[in-house]
Amino acid sequence: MLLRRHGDFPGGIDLPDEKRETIDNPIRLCHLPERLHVPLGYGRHPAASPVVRQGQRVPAGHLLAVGEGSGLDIFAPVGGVVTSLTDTADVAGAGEFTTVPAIELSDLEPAPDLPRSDDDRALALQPDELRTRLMDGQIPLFRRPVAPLDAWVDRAHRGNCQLLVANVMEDQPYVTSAHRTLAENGRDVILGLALLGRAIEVDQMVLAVDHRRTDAYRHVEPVAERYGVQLVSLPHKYPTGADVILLKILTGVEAPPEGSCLDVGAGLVDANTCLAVCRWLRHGHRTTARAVTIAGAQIVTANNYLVPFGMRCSELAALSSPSLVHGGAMTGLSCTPHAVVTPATEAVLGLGVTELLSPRACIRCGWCTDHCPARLNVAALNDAFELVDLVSARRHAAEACVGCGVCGYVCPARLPLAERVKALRRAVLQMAADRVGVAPAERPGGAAKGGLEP
Amino acid sequence: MTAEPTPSHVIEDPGFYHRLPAPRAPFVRAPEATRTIFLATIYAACVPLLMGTCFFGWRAAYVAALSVGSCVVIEWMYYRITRTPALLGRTHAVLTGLLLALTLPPFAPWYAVIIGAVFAIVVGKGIFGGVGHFVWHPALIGRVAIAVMLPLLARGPADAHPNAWPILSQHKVFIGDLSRYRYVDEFREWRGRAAPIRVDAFLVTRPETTLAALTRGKAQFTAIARSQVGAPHPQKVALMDMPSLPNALTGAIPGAIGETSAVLIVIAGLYLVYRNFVRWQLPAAIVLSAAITAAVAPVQLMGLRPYSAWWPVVLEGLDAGIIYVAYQVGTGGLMLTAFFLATEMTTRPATRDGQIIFGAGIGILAMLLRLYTSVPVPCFVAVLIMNSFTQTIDRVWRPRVLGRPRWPLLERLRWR
Repeated sequence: MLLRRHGDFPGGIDLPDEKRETIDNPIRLCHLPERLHVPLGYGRHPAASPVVRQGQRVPAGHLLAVGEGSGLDIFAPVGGVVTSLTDTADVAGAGEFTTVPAIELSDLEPAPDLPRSDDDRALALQPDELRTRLMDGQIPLFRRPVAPLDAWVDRAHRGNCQLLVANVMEDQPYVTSAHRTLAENGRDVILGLALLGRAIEVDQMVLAVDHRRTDAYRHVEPVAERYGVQLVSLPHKYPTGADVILLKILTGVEAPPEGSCLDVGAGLVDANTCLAVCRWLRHGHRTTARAVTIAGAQIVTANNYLVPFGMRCSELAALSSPSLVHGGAMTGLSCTPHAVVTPATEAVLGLGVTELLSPRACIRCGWCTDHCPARLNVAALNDAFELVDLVSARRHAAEACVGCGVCGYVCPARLPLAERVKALRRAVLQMAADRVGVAPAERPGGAAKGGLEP
Repeated sequence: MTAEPTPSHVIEDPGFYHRLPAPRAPFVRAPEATRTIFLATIYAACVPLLMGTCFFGWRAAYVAALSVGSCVVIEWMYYRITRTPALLGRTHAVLTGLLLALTLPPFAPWYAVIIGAVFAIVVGKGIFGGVGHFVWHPALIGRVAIAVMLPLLARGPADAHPNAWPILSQHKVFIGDLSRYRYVDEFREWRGRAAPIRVDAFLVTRPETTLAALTRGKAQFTAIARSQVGAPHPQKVALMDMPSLPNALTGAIPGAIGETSAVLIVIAGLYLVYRNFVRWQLPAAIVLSAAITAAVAPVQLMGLRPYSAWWPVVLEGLDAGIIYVAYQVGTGGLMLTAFFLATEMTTRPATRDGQIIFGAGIGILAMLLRLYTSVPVPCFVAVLIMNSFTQTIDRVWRPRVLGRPRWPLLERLRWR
């Protein structure tokens, strides 16, 4: 592992790790539920239209629905009988769950093990051929908000992206799914990263990992050297894993507050996306399941499980939904009853936080400002929120929020600061978009910065 | 078979309970709450109170209990009338009362304490909206109100010696009665000095008074007369008229309840620094700027040419100069201000650099007020003045936001 001195960032905090119960256990197959509710869309994109009929028996990997426009095609994660075409599922979008149509599968049978090939023919393909094959793959980005990978690759290629970073920092408490994915499929992840880099035609590929976990990744060093991937281990101060912060540490370049890392010529992906790319380009397998960390004080069987998309979170954790957290402990969402596992679900946590902590008045301790990695004056933004003063929020640069949630973590008055700043950020971006007359979703860089919601 | 009608009070919708407001990220929280901060500050402020009780006896504890109790009662009454939501907690009222007591003289009468508590809670805190909303430190508002409304309180208990305040003798610590005092003319060393029978306390000239007389040339100094006997530098001998420097730093000097022991105030303040409730830069900035101001500010001395400037450190050598600066910094409530009053979270700037500016302003102002004006409580007034600029400092001096230029307005003005 290459230990290079890298930059630091002001602010941030050392969080409790809480990963001991899952970090050393291999990923296991999860039990199959009674029913699967495969969502037909992810967030903003229009839902795919079904091409199966009710009562039809479909094998694993069968095409269930065809994406409309830029949407993704949906494939069956496991074999089963189509029970209902009009069911609903909640997928975690930007800041909240959105209800999308879903296909209900019952009488499930596990997906068979598919044969693997060990050739490296995919690496011999030209970049434009790789991009065409990625378009056939219908691979999603495995982070919030879920979006088609091929469109992202196209944008990175057209934007002359020079640096591709696989972000395996995973600095939130409890979550270990990316760590286990890299530790168990390190070779495939590196290869997927190399293939993505070749498709985007980048100069430099970096795999950024937590410096405490380098022992688990020793076996990928020769592979990384062979494919020209640079290995970088970074300190574990939260939020090193936020995309803009990671980019600042690695290169010193700061992404514009309104945009994303792609605007400054750097693409950031996660381990599961790389793995899915490798599986598709080398073996021709579609990825319809992902590793999900199940952990927390309320969970009995804490581990990492390979979970098919569309499984209800409450069934997965065997807990009622309002006490479950969908995603990491710092940036996740409270589960709704219909919340399902999607490509962006890194963890389902039962932390036992069911009641709201009653907030007190802000005493201006300044800890939120001290620890904010974006150096925002969070107390002033909180005033702007309480006074509904968008002009003040804009002057204090609410749009630069990286959404890490550190302000809400440290707040001794228990104010929901992270939520409030995120709301201000959305409002300020909307205001700026209204001024130029373009919807924020369509602006270049209007999409969320990396895995953190806008 | 007909279905029975559902009673109207049964909620049919199973999703009802899920639509209660759900907890939002982050789902893990740091353990510190506002109450933790206030409690830790209360524990730390008990250390100067303990030293005050040691040197001033049960009357200091009585003043503190009265102050805390009246603050809690007045806040409760104010809450019953106005229902200001941020007044609900009692911890901050206790803290306010405790800090107010630390700034009061130990012989303060009960009505003075109650006037201070009323002003601290109602004017300092209540009308601004309670915890987290006030602009000036509430305890200092109460203290300054006392200083304005009862100016004779600064004169000490004995009319014959207006500048002398009492301190218990060594064999009467904690238990002695402060009102059984006797005036002593020369008080150099507290230890080993026994009081006569039926006398618990000495009435001693306050070090602030001695220093003020020294720096303004107003009083006829015994030191001047003594200097004619043999000492070459009258200023050095004038300093000899003070309680010894170890006494002044450990607390055996007359003064307000909380401002006696500079050493223990520093230790209690370092506990707050260790808990991360106070940034060390703020007290350091106050003490340093006060020391530098005391060292370079020109003062006038009686017996020398009229209006001739005297820079203690430069002209008188390091020995006299440093002792003079140590007296200025270690006495008169500057340490209490630096560690407990200026560090109040609501009324200080949020960022580190802002706090350094704020602290430097307090140190300079406190020293200038002490040297050139006759404000009775210069350190506290300096804190209140700088509290007024907290919002301005926070607004002007803010860190550069990620991905933004430091001065966005300048960027906009730049020609391109």
